[in-house]
Amino acid sequence: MYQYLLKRIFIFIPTLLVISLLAFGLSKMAPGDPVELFLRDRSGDVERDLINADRIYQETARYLGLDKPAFYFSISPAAIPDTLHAILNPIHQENLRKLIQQYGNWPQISGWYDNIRILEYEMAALPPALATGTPARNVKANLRQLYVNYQDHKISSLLGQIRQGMEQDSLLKQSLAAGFTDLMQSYQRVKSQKTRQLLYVPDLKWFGLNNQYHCWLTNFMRLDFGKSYYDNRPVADKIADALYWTILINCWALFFSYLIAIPIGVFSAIRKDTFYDRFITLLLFILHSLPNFWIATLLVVFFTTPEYGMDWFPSLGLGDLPKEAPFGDRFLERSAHLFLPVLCLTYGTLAFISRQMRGGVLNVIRQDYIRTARAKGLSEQTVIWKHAFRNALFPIITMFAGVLPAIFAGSLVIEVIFNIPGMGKLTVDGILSRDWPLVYALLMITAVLTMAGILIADILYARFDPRVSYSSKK
Amino acid sequence: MSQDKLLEVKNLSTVFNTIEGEIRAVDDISFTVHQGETVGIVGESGSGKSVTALSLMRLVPNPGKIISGNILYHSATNAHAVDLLQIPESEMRLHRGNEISMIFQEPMSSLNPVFRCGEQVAEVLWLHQKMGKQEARNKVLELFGKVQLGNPERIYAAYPHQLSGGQKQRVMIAMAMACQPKILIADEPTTALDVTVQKAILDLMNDLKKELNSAVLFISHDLGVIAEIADRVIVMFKGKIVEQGNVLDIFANPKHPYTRSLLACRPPLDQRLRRLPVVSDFMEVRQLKDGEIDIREKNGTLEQVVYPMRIPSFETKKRLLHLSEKPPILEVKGLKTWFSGKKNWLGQTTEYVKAVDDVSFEVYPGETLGLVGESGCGKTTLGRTILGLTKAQTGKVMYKGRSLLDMNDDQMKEIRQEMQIIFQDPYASLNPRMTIGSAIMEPMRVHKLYVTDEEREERALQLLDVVNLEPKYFHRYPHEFSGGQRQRVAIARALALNPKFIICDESVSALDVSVQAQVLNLLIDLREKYKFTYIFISHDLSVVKFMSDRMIVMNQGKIEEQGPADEIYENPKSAYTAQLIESIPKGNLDSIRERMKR
Repeated sequence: MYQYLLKRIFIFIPTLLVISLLAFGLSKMAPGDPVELFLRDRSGDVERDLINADRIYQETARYLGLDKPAFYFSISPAAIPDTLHAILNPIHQENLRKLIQQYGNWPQISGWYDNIRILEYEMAALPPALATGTPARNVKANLRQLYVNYQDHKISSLLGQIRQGMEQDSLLKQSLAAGFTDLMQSYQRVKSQKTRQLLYVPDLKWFGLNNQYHCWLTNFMRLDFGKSYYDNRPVADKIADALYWTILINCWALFFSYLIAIPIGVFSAIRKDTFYDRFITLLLFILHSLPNFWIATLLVVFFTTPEYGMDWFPSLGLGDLPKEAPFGDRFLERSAHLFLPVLCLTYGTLAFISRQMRGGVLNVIRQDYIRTARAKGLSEQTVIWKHAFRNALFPIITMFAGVLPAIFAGSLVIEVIFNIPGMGKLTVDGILSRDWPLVYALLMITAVLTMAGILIADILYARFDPRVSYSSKK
Repeated sequence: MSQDKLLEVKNLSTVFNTIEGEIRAVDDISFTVHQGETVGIVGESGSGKSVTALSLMRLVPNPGKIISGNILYHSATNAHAVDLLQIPESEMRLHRGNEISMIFQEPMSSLNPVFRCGEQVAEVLWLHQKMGKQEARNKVLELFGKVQLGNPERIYAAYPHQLSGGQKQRVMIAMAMACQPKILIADEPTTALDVTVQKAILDLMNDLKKELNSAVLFISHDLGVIAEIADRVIVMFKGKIVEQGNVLDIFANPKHPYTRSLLACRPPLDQRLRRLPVVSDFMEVRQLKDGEIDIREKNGTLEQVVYPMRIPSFETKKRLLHLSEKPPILEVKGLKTWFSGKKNWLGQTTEYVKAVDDVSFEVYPGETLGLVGESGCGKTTLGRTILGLTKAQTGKVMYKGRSLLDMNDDQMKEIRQEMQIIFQDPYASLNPRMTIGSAIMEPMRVHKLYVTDEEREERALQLLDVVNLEPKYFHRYPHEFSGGQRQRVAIARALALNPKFIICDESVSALDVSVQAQVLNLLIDLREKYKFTYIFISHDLSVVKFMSDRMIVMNQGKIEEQGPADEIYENPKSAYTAQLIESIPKGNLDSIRERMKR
């Protein structure tokens, strides 16, 4: 048994690694510049002070670990340098990559890139009177366009426009002439000294352990999921807060649905095709088919407002008694607040679980050993609850494999309607605000929980069914 | 044998209300069971014998209902007889398992898989004798010793799936005997077991009955088994008792034609027959409009019916000689089929289960080779290996001079047209969602026999006729048929490809003796008509001996003995074969007289 467990956990590791690769790959392909996402809402006008902005950008990128190579190794044409990842701005990086694919000469291209930056810095250092003039603004705009263009005719036309802009103001021309000449020369070098043959030579570049994926994975194992792009709080804290409410509500809902559904299922099985069975089945299916957002809204409308004279439950939220309040008071308040959400989550699953249970029991009471049990003279109660029940539990155990991730996932609709800051809301907010560290942490945790759920179901099988044996001996 | 009345059944009727109307499973039957005697109830499936037993226990499953009658139980403690049908359920429960207990047909599924065997037996003692855990445990261990289970401690802690069929049936007997019941009802307790195990169980029941002075109601479809145990016999047919009487009288002088046919349809051991007598040789059954059944007796005693079917021994010898003249159609040399048993952590096999271990034999064209042995001896694996359904370890299988084990898939497909198999379980080997017609047509489609489906349908209808099924069955589904009819369908399906060589793997083992006789006759007719070669696999030596020219006895993957069937029966060379022959219920007067003397 223990050997089997070890084996299973051993198989989990590669599975998890594959999932982590997928998650990481997706996060790299997600739209938007993570640094911009991180800086948004936080820094003021980045445009105003270029040097400062650049510094902030670099620092942020370094803080987020984006200056590191993405993975342990890469396989690419020899023309692409192993330091390309050090260009932190992904848009610039992409443009440079395209240039390399055109000319294959990284030393020249990097000279070109440096010269654009030098000129940009020079422009930023211009006296304000000069910098705010129309020609300077045009030059600046055209210069920035150079970062994102790689086709020869576009670059030539941009360079021409910059030259024209400089001609309009002699002072501007004077201060930028040297830099511009360098820029022009470096572009000439890019075009004349092509090494396109390097594009056809494959090259494996090894980056070692200090890469983004490795850091992300090791941090994940230390339960450090990074910081939210959205509010800079540790993702782990955000998840922990939301998880508290979700698990609280879902566990209660689960507890009540099993508590109610199992006896209902057993009783409708032993009274199969009677009035009781038909009535319960009808009732459960009606409940099952009522959408929970509708029921939830009705409950809120009728039971939390004085309008209909049934203001029995506090309105939305979770109550605000401080932690110091006596336990009894807090418990009562919590219960009052949680009653309606738990009710909403419970009623829908009743039908499903009780039908499973009914089917299980019906299947079992047809078996020969139930007849044996009756022939022993056992009472009907003992026959059902001792001999049939345990055998009928197996389908319920199978269902349990899916329960663990479900507890974690939360229900968006219920959380929104009752204004509960749970996992459902957290996940959707994370996706909408492109808070990738949060989203991918959730993805990984769900994967781990799904596998754990399956493993737990297997262990439960072995516990309840002696025919299931995981030991290697026959 | 004391003659105190223990159980009096009067005018008992049990009906099942189904969609098609009321079915009278038990129709106005009366009989008496005396203290200490064994009453055998015999009949084919559907005769109402099991429902009778369940009626006595008041455990008739829905939608069955006991509609009339009395079951008077004369208990020692009560001066007056109790009518078991009148007392409340709670009082009935005090009798069940305590004074009246029951053993069922399927030892495999009659024990709850999630509880330990010992505890399941102890449960009866906790319930009826109010024993404490330890006391009950000791008593159970004692009982296990009594039913000759080796190592009772281990059995006590074992779960049902860890025991063999015979062991499980012993546990069931221990459970039934735990409270020393006055009446033990045994419903086909040995039908699913090998003959040797059957013999041991029957002996055990005989001994226990004497020791406890209980009455036993023993139900079976096989008069041969009844002969081994019963003092009195009740013969049931279609819910009615057609004959009852002393076991010697029944065997010596059967009055009802149905009893005669049951006696005749068992494959005889002392003579060789061309075909087996069946029920229709003795009587004609007609269903009247009001649901009543009209039985018309045909003339002829047992002897008169059987005599013309005999094959004189010189004819058998001639046939054997004639068969061996031609070169063998199938040669098996040094065949080994091993399954991996234990594996190490890398998944490499470290120990093998040797299912077939170095087996060599030949089959001549037109002959029937019998393969007999107990369950687990490897006979089924051998059949499957020959057809390439299971992979062989080493060895040679030559069919018409071509090696079957070295063939690729296309060549094998070609060969499968000629070699067909008929499986044991007619319930499991037909797809429940396929009509009989399309099941028969499927192999023709797979092997692209005939061009259009119309031609295939015509051929399928022809085959239904060959196996004596009506053409209207073409569009019906398997669940609408009885076991014997389904086995006919399976035979028709095997014939669809015009095979030359057929392996029958326990093809009649799941059938009642009366139905078994019909199917065996069909197989023999087909052999005469199409000149088939059969390998006939069965655990039942009497059936194999009836069917085959030569016979192989297998034990633990190896061949114990092979030779002409009659020779092996009359003069077994190995001890194992002798033991197998010894275990077959003889079902004749001499053996009954001998048992009575003991």
